[in-house]
Amino acid sequence: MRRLLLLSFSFLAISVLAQESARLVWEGSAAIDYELIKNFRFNTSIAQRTSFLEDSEGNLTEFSFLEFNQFLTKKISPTWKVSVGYKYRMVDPVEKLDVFEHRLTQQAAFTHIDKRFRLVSRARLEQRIRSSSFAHRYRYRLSTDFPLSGEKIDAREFFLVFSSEALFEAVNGGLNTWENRLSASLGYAVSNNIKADLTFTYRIEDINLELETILFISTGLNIKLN
Amino acid sequence: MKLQNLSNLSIILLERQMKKGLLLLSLLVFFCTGTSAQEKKYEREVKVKPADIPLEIHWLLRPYVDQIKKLKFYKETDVDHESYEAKFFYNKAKYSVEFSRKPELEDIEVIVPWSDVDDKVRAGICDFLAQFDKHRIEKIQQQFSSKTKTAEEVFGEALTAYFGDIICYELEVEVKEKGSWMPYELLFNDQGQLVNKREVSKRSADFILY
Repeated sequence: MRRLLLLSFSFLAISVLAQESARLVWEGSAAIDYELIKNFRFNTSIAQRTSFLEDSEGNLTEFSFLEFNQFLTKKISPTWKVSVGYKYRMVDPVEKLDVFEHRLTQQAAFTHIDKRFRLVSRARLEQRIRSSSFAHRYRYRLSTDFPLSGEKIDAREFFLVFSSEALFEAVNGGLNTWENRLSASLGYAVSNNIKADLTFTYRIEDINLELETILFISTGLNIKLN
Repeated sequence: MKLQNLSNLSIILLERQMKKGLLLLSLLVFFCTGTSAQEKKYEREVKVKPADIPLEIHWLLRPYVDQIKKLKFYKETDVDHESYEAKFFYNKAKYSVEFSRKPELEDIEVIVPWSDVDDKVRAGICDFLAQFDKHRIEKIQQQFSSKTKTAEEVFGEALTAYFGDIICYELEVEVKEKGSWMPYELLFNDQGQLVNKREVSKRSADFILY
């Protein structure tokens, strides 16, 4: 079973790397998770993204952004968690004239199974405010994570995370779009409070229009302070 | 021309922001390294091969090997403690048998439904949990151990669910106290009295939530 799951992760990783027609994107992030006010968990993160594109003349160009995220989460029962979030993104002007982006998030997460294999649903509403547009985004994600050794994720152990997410975007005055994201992560618990991960994500964008695929390779660092 | 200047200015601003971001990232990594060095206590459960397990565990399981399903072996290490564990299913119930490094039987645990808990113990658990606003029982395990009986006798009692004189109940619960949900591990004796209560940490949800 463990080998099969590792094989699935490798297969997705190889598929991502072997694609020629899709865009390749690298995203790096670091996050800290802490309880500043009793009963509320805060998650602060910064991330940067570099995307490699081929222009009409076949030259490889890149664009980037840097973003700051702040989430506030309240556990309302052993299975339900609700969060609100804010994102500020500074976008490279190569990507049109949207040089900034604000994003407001409201989400609810429900834990279906909380054993060795954890299964969680997440429903998210977002309001995306860009320099030149406004959009409502509706997202639903089903994720599972589990340790590769033993029944819980201990220090110095690897774990896997798989997820599938559907996203509908309603742009004010623009075209509405559907998107699907499949991802596989290999995580490593450096200690009980520090985790690092390598994620491969396959995004299928504009499903209802002109379909485009984007491949993401992400690296992340998560630190739990208290 | 103006657009070009605006574009250049934005690139400069973005570069500055990225430099700040990288600085913050470096600080986080530095901080995380410091935190890691301070953490001295850790518990770790690693899956091991049957050959790495003390023979005593194999001898104990041998008479029941035909009925045992999904047998797996683990080694658990803590700062001052090391033990070996066999986990398996027997008659559709999930068991774990833990041996010390010596090796001596430490305890045998079996996951049971609430309906299988002794009435007296159930009443004791209910009384204890009544002090909280809300509660949710995640898991109940019967715990078998003995200082006088042999490992074979204790194992035999555990497999036949014989209610001898050595049963404890270990509960994983989440309780709502003072407005927040807290996960605990509770140990009740066979009279339904609380023997031990300790706060446990739940698995981080960062990857799942954000």
